[in-house]
Amino acid sequence: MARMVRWSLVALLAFGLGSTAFAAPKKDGIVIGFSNAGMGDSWRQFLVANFNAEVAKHPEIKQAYITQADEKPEKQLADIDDLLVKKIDVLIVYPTVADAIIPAIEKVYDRGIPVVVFGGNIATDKLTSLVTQDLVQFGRAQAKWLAEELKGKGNIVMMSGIAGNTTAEDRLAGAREVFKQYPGIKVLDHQYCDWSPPKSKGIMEAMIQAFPKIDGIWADSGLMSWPALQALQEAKRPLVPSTGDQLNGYTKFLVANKVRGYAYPMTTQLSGEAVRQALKAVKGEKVEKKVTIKIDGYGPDKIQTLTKQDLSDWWWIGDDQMPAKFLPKL
Amino acid sequence: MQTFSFLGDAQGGSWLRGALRGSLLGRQRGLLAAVAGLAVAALAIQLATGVNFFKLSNLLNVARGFSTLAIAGIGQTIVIVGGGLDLSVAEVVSTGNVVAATFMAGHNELFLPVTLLTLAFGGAVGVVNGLLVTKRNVPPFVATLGTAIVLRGARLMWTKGLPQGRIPASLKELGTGVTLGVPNLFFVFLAFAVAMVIVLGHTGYGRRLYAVGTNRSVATLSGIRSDRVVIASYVVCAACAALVGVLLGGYTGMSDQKIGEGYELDSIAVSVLGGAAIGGGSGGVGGTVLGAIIILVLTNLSLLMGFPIQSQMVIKGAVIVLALWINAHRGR
Repeated sequence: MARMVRWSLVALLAFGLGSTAFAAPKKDGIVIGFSNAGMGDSWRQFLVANFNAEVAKHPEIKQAYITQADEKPEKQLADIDDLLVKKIDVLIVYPTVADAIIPAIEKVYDRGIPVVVFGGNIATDKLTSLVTQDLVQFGRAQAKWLAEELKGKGNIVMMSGIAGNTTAEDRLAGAREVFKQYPGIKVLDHQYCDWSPPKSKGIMEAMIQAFPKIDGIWADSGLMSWPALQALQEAKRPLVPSTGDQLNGYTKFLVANKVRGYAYPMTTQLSGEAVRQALKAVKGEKVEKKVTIKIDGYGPDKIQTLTKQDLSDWWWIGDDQMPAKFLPKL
Repeated sequence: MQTFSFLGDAQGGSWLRGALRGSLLGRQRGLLAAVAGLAVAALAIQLATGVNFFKLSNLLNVARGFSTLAIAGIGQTIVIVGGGLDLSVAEVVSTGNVVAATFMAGHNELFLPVTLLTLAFGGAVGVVNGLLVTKRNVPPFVATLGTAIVLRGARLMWTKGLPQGRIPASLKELGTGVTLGVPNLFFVFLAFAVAMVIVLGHTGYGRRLYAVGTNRSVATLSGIRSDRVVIASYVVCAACAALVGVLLGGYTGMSDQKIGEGYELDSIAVSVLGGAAIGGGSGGVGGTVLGAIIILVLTNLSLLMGFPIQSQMVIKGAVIVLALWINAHRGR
């Protein structure tokens, strides 16, 4: 009996292997694999929406597989292995933890499959292209707008994301570089607020107590400048010029309260650019090792135009330039 | 009657002491001295640097932050007194926030029913935690961590990671408004704290909870339905966390998937600082309240003085280690 079961299993295995080998689809189009870090917020939803919208523009793409790793590098390693099984022609990666997934990226690249990474720097040359936006410039542009808005003179507070996080530190470095050029701008305090609205509001409340006059808020994200402005409003202090990103809740607050602000996008259109670079690589066209997307910030007038008062606070203004069917349902 | 006399023996105290166990004056002289010392230090800082901690508007800010932390801390204390530990607090806070914002959807008239629904949701999570711990003998650390992971995953599946709903004006008013010069959130805390003082110090349930936390086997042998007592403690804790989720929605005016981050450890910190012993049998509302005051005052002072926010972690850790060291030293 046991022998029969054993032989049956061997036969099944052989059939399975055989059928897999023979069932491999004949390539009549490009297969893209996208290993995403996670889907835990609306920004990621827009990232995927822009990916899908770009894929739809290219009929030569036969199939696009998307995996999401719940922000866990170990899951992303497994996801990339899964995508390889699906016989992808090109791999696009938004890393969870860049260093942790380098081995997987190098493995795919060594197999001759193009790899396009986007969303952050990564310490390996074994990739086809790195699509990114200049995060130091992000902080620079915000700081320059604020300094000029204050005509080079005033007391400001600074709010960053997570201490040690590359994105937060790059933005901060860019901002500090600019503020140094404006001796009339006095930085009263700088705090890391973890991109957390309740923490940002609590910290701003303390800043309001500590400093009787705050003329401006440099925050690297609307997730912090929005609650900071709320804190000012609740303390019955004048609302002041601020910086943030393209979060609709932040810009809605600016528009509703007629207060000036500057939104520098952490663009979700990176994913669309990654698709374009991936296609060039598959087709054998020349691909730059590093592609930096040029970004224009949104001043008060542009914010007025782009803000969607009737849509969710978690909409990302300016990143919604795609057919409606691809837009996230928020 | 039997249960009552047992409690007195187990705690080594009188009826009066048992009744005061949940109150401010029971066994909290050391913590009261610490709070007084902090007030003196704040005054000295004001004289030396001009940083005015005692400004009314600052005290009101501290009271707001204190209220939500103290409510979560009291919930955690109830579980710890019963011999448990709840690591799902942060995820219940976040999920409670999302549930409230989703179903209130900006409608004032839904504020009360949806708040009750959210509390019921929290209670249901507590039932699961309690059943895992009592009926399946899963260690509290593992059971509640597992629940936290499941909750987070379920929330992300439900919302696809997207913030949901809108906070109605009535909840925003509760979270940010003041009545008679006092933040509304503080009144919520006060009502809740008084209720919990009564439950812990003046009801049969409170006495049974201390008995079970002190020695579950003996409590069971003396006729207490220990499992029910423990399950109820998890229900109260999770309902507290869900309430905090609702209140934080009012404070920030938004729904946020990560709004509860840090509450699991902060709630344990204020509870332990307030004299609750991991392992059960001791702890109370008064101690937890004082623990929350100490943590909030220290962190607010550090911010006012311009220290980096990361210093809060150092302060919290140092204060807790110091408190445990003093407790251990005193117990020798």
